[in-house]
Amino acid sequence: VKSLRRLRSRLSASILGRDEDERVREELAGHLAMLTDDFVRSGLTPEEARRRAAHTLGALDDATEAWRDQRRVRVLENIVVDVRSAFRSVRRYPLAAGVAVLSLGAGIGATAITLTARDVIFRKFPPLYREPKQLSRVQVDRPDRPILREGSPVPAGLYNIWAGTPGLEIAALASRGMRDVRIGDTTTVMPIRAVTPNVFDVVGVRPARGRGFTGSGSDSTAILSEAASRELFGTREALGQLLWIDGRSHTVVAMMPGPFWLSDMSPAIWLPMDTRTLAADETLEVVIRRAPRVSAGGLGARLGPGLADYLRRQPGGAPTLATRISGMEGTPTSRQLSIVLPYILAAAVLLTLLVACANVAVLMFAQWTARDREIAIRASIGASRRRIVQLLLAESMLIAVAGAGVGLGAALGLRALILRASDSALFYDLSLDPVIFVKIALVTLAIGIAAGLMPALFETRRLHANPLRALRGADRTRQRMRHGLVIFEIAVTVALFVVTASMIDGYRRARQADVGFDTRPLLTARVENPAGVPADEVLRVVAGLPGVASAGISTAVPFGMAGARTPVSAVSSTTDSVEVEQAVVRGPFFAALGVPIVVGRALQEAETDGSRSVVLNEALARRLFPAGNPLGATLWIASQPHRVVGVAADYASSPLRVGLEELRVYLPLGNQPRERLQLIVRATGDPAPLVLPLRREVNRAVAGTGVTSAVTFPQILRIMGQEMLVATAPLVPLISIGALLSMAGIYGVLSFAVSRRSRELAVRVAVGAGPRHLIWTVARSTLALVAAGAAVGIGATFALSRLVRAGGGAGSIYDPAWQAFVLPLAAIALIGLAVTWLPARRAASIDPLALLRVE
Amino acid sequence: MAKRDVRQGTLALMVLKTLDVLGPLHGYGIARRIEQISGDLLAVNQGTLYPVLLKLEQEGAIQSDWGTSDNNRRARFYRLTAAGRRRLTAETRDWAQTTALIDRFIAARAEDLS
Repeated sequence: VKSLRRLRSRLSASILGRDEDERVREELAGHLAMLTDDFVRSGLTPEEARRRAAHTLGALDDATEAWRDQRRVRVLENIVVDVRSAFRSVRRYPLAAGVAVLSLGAGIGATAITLTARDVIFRKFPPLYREPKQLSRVQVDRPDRPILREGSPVPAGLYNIWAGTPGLEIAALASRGMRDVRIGDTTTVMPIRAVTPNVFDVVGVRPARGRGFTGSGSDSTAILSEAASRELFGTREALGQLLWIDGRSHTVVAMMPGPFWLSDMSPAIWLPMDTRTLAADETLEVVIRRAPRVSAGGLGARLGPGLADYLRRQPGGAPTLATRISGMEGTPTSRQLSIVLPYILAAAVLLTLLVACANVAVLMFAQWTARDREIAIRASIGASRRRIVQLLLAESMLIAVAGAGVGLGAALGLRALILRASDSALFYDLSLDPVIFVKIALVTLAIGIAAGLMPALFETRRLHANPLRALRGADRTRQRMRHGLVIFEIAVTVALFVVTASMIDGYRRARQADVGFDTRPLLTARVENPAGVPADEVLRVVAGLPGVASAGISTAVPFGMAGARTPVSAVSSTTDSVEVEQAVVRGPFFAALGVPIVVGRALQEAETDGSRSVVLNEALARRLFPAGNPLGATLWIASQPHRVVGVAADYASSPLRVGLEELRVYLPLGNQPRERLQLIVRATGDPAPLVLPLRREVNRAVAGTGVTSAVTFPQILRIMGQEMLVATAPLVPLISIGALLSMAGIYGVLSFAVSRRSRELAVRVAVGAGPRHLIWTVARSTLALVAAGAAVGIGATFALSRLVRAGGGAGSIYDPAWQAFVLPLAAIALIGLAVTWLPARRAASIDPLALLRVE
Repeated sequence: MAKRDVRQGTLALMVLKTLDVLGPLHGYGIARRIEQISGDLLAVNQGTLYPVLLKLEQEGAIQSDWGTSDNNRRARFYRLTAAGRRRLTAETRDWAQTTALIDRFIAARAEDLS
């Protein structure tokens, strides 16, 4: 306590300044006067007494200084002095300081923006939710299947048991379905979501207008989002309006506030549902509000008995289910995006910051080298190395702080721009998180120290021995350090270039890749029937639609639904098996998909699983029968013998997997009922106009069977491409900043080198070197720098891509193609040339007479 | 005999004791009294005294206010606080223990230890 109290008193004295100095001076003067009085009383003349007293007490200043040392925190006073002196120094090199501040501003601004974007996409809660940290999403799935952020919904049977648990605030959303919505006599297709009536209470958001759902649901009411209202009625207000959904009328009883969204951000129409009337295996998204002080783990324990109860009621040894309880944070996009993306972003941000840091270090080196005489003089008149390093650090710190100001200003400006320009901005919580400010402050501090420390330590390392002698002989080392920093910058820029180029190339490949069939006329639809989809009937209805060329049905369709994995062997029922994807097909599946049969025949229409026929794809045929013809051979699939009747051409199951080996078997569909099958439909022209009639006809003509999603292949490709672009977009500004910073770095080093070497260059001119020779002398060093940096950057990313390949990611977007390496090289070479030009020209225009005369 | 400077660390105790015995006093007065009590064997340097006073004040053992001395000089008067009084008691006890201990060591003879 004692030392704390002292520290507080000292700190306040340091900060509050010099009034207290007056006090001690007066007190000491009083001391002197009283001593003089005593001497006078003992008989001395006043003159003599004053002299004696002054002699006895010694210099007043020494005492004042001792008192001051006691009074204040020395370090703090030094900092004030250093900051002042840093201001003065920085003013002497405004251009370099400006470049450094802008470099850092760019780096820190990019960090702030990327961190905010990451938080907005992955970490923040949807706007308006009350106490969103108390909300949990619950997902369930078989233990052998990992539960991702998207999918793994809860069966209605299980939900109903949980909903019966007393005291549990639980709500559910059915999956989103596209339905016909009619207003007056215009019909549109809109996403509809059935929800339990309490869902708005559970997330804690009141309607902006209207009453909300009442009762148990299933009445003819609807709640609209503002976006849906605008889309349907052309106005924000639809309260009391009537709309027909699949032929049933609904009255709009409430409008939700504009920024509100639930599970996804599309214009939403919410209908009430009664989960007790749902089929037990209908699946639901579940939200629970935990009571205060109940953790996610505690919630799991509360859900346990209900889950056990549900499993007990399942017929015949149903597999157990694992639950996953997660928070409501993040946006719908974040649930679909790759989990590694935030890390890639963080790494890219960190690298950009490091480049900015290196840039400042380069500048500091240049400046301080030019000031080595001043530093040496400071050392000779007694400044310790620590003091000088502190002084230099104050300069880099000052630049870092100014850079942070510029960067944050830019980030705030951008935010204001987004808020003004974007409609969907209101769905996101774009408020600025104080934690980010703290992070930025820490980053700034780190940059200030990191960028200044190495040069400062270097510049002062031999001062204590003989300051003036240390001036000589350090140039070469300094140059090496500056070059090292610039090579690092170039390497990082090249690496960032490669990653971005690879992602953009992946996007391009996704758009243009030959996946093995023509995607343009295709559409795929999921058909579901709890009692088993009557495949033949569905196929008959679909084939009868005008505009349909052919249609097949399968359990595995590229871009849509992955098939089950099953062991296959050409040797015996138990040995040498490989895992392959199994597609159970019906109808002219290959013809509809447009995949040719290369050997043998396709599965015939009438064939069922009793025929034990199988078709392989080429990749599997190559793997299992490298030498011979597989036709007629026996294949053991899940330990059952099958006869190979044909080989189908290979195709990719996703645009991102083009060129990867995918093993596949096709079996005929048996009589065993299947709840879920995937249609593949080839249109005679554009497949898009087929979506609505297909859905309507199947729903109408085949009792109990519904189309739950229907989408054309071009749509799927577009969405995939957009997702990849969204993922790549944040990298583009980072990379541009990285490239700009590298340019500044190379330029800084070169122009410094030219001014440092101007004497040497002048001598060269004097002895007859032409301008071409001079330009080459300068350009050579750029070339060396760029070559070294590019080699390091390419080497690192290439090694990384080999790791990805070794990990089985060959052909994916994380495995860059050669173009992704060549383009960055070209870009960096161009950058190098551009920044060499100015210094080289300056070198070429050196006038030896003028320069040497000055010397 | 030449005057000696005050031993490190003991001046604070002397200051506290002086203020305890004599009540509020200015810096010059404190220095004088300490020198007097030591029989003029000690010299209290103002470069040592004022930092100690400040330290004690920062630690809350004493407080100070401007006042007027006997011969009408403006001076800062220091007085003991309650915390200072507690500290004086504790330090006095410590000092007594230390000196007793040192005395015993100095008085020790070989036969006492065998």
